[in-house]
Amino acid sequence: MRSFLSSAFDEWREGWAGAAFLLLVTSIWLLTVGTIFVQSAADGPDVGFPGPYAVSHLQKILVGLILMAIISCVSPRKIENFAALFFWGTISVLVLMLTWKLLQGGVVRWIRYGGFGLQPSELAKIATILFLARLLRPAKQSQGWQPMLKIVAVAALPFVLIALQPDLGTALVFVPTVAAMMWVSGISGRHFVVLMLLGSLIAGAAFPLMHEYQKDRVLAYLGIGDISRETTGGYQVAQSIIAIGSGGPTGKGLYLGSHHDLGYLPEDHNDFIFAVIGEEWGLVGTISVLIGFLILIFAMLGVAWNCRDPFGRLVAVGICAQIGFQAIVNQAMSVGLVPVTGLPLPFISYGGTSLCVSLAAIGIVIAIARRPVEVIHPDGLKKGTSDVRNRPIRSRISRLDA
Amino acid sequence: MIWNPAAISSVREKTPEKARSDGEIIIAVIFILVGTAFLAVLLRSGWMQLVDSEHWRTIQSTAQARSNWSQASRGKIYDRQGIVLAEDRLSWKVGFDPYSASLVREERTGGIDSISALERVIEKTLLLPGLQLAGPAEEVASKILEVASRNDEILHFNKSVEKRERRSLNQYLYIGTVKAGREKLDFLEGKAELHRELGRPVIPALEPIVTRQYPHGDTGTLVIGELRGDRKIGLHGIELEYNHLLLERRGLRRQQTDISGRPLREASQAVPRIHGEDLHLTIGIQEQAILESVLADTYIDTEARSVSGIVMDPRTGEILAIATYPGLLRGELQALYNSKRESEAFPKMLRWLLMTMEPGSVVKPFLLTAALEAGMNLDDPVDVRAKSQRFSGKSRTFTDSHLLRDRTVRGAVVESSNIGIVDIGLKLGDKRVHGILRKFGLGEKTGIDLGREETGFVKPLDRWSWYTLTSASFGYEIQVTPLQLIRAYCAIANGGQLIRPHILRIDTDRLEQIQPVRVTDETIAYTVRHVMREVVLKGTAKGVLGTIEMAGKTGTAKVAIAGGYSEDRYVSSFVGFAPWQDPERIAMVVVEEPATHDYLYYASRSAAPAVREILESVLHSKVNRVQQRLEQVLKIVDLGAQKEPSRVRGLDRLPRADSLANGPRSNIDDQGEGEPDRWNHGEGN
Repeated sequence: MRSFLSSAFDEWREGWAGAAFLLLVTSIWLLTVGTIFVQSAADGPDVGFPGPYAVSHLQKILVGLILMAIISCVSPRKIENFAALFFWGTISVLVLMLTWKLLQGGVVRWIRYGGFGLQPSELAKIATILFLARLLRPAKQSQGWQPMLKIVAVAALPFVLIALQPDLGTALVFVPTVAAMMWVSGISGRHFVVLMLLGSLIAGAAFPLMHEYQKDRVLAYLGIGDISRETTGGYQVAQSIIAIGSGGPTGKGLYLGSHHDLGYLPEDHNDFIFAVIGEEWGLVGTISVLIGFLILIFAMLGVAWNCRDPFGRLVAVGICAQIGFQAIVNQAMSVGLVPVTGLPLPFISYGGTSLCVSLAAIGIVIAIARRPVEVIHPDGLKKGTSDVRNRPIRSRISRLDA
Repeated sequence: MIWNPAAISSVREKTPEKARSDGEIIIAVIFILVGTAFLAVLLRSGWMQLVDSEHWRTIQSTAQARSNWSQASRGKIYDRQGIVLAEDRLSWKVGFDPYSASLVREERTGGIDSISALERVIEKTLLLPGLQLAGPAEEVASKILEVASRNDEILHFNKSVEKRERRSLNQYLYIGTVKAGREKLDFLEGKAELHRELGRPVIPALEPIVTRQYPHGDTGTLVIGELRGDRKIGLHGIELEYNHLLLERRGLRRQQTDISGRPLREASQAVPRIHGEDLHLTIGIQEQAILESVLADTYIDTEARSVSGIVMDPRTGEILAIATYPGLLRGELQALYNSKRESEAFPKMLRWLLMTMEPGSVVKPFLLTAALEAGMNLDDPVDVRAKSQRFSGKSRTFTDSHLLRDRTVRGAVVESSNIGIVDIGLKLGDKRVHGILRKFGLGEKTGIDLGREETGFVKPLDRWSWYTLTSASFGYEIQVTPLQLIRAYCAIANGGQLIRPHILRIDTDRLEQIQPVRVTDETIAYTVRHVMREVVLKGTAKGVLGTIEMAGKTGTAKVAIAGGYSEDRYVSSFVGFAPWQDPERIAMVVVEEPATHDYLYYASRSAAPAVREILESVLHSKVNRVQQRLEQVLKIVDLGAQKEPSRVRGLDRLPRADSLANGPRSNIDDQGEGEPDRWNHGEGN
């Protein structure tokens, strides 16, 4: 009994080695930076740590970490089985919200109950990745046009529902995610190129259908719009650049950034938290955040690379693409390299659902990292895992060594 | 095959080498993609934070600061008592939206006339409390309607004017101002109620404006002057003359603020503002008001073209009051200028500096001074034999209005005998006569600190002839400004010191102090004053003997016209000072072209009573102020003990009240037979 417990613990512990551990440490580093700057930006120095925003942020981190811990212990197989239910559940919630919007009007992005808010579009990101991975898993079968269209339809469904909320920024995250997953799944090059072209055509055709402010933002970025219009977001970006630029190499010091403190920087604890970091910690801060994300992305890519199971690999690639895309776009937006999108900086920005979902996603990647070799049972069983092959890779190697 | 990384899943179809190389390409592509993206962000933020950091810091401090004009105020103008004559005050501009209501006329129930919705709104707006309209109510209303209908036409004509453009046509019309304080509160209340009633705003938020306020209205307009509409420069008077001192310069203020504009720390003056300097005048607004009201009365009574008056302190040269009636009213110069009739303003400016005249008999006391200086006595005889006589065998005839009774030097001045004074002049010789006139500052600028003044003209000695000498003896063939005359009289009044008339107080302002010049002996000046007292007691001005110990001299001069002198146009003047032994106040009134009937052109009938009234009021008002204070004190002391406040004796002797009650100048019973100088002039010339 005792030896069973100890071996189980060993197995559990060994699974956390390598990439999983790296993911955990990097996430915690980013979460720490996030907490510090949520406190700095939203609460300020007058309120002792933790201020109300920081407390709320920490609560969400706690929830997220628990979620992560639980999910990281779940077998990818179970996650795969759960994917369809999860996806269709999320989709139906989105449809219900859209119906609500049609009846009530306005912008519907949140479900609020009591003091707790949930952003189903964040859930939809993860659900879509899982479901797409499940669909793309038998790569050999997805070579024809018909399964391809099915996959595209599945990817387009949440995209359209979220874009109609309207939340184009979140919806846009689907594009690189799906593209990356399809690329890795090994579909034919011809299909891929055709799909990409088709997608660009549809995007161009949909441009007139976009909201006025969205058009303004894009046009302002391209340099042909009327920058003076408030909706361009040019003001926000300008303020963000000023904040980052004024930070200098080492920054002004924590709590000493005046630009967000005086209210010039909008969304300072949210979409533009990178600017606050840039102002208060200077280049040191921006580099530390950048490196954190770089490690996170390459660690997840490593997990995907190491994974022998197509589902796990696809999920890891999808999550990596999603988090990486959000991180890069948010930072690039903060320094004025891309147009304004309402994408938060993962792990750092104040925002409940996004934070929890990101941590849960990291949890999934850890779960995959811990079980890199999981294949369909050689006996042809559809369910269940092989005892031998499902071992974590290191323990198996160590056993071979021994 | 870079874009087709299907190698991993199709690994079984390819050789292991091929698969591995494909895998390496994928890794390279991914690393390059991700790395490039991060590198872009890194380079961008690194560039900003390392190289451009200073630039962004400057931008940040600019972005976090609000610059605004810090308004400075133009210097105040005070009178001698410290009473404000002109100051800047804050008031609020009121606009009106002429497109706020329909112009379509709707039938009034039961009425014959119809009225549009806009007209009804205008009606209500113009009646708001505290609103000072920019013009008469009908004018303002018709202007709003005109603008509204003009726009209506445009809109009807051009159907394609879009709604957005229609909105941009919304321009507010300026309709008036509201004073700060109580009036503004009342107005805002009324405005809010109106907006509630109409259900839409018609009056936008009030805009602050600084306006120049003249608390005493038209009193002293000619001295104080007026500020041009753009506040850059004064149009006339002190506001023009001392514009360089009064002018303010607004500054630029920079302040670090938060996004809502709340200031975080003390503002720094990027460009410091400069307030205008305050000016303290020698003018007393009370004296000025007295002078102006007396001048107005004189103007009406004498039917003159123009009446000018001045009150001075002869000891210091301070001008207490100076006026011309009719003078410019507030806003009149701007209105004349706007209608391109600025030339009409000239006769309404201060005549003291701008008019030159032949002074007439008022120069006689100076001749007397010269005679006394030359060693003559007051009782020396003068060669007067008839009402009309010649001298030195010349053909020129000199005429008096009556035969001189007291045929002495004294008598020639007291009864203002031309023949007598010519005799004295001839005895003195041209050198002395010219000398005394020049010495008393005639024909030269007085140096008054109130703008441009005329020089006048006294012929140089080498061009003097016998005719010049005889003419100059009773005030002809010389051109002087009234200001030069009163300055000369100040010298007699103060014991022989020629002072500079001034309007800025020397003790408080930056006026350069000029040492007075002694022009005659103190005893001689006293003697001359004594003779001038006799003028009032028994001479030409005996009709104006009042309650004060006034001395003075009359003068009535014909106006020079082409080829001689006019028979019906006169300039009557009177200089008086009191008390004569040691004069405190000197006053002069010049009546230009009074009516010729009822001997109104005699200085004793026109200018002299005015001077007496002015001096009485001015000297008594000094006493009265003390009495008023005393009365206030007594009132407080007696409060409760007496039901009726005690009347202080002497209060009912207010000169102005007196004269008004009895009708103007009713106490003149004597018509003053001696005056004016009836002379026959020009025969010899």
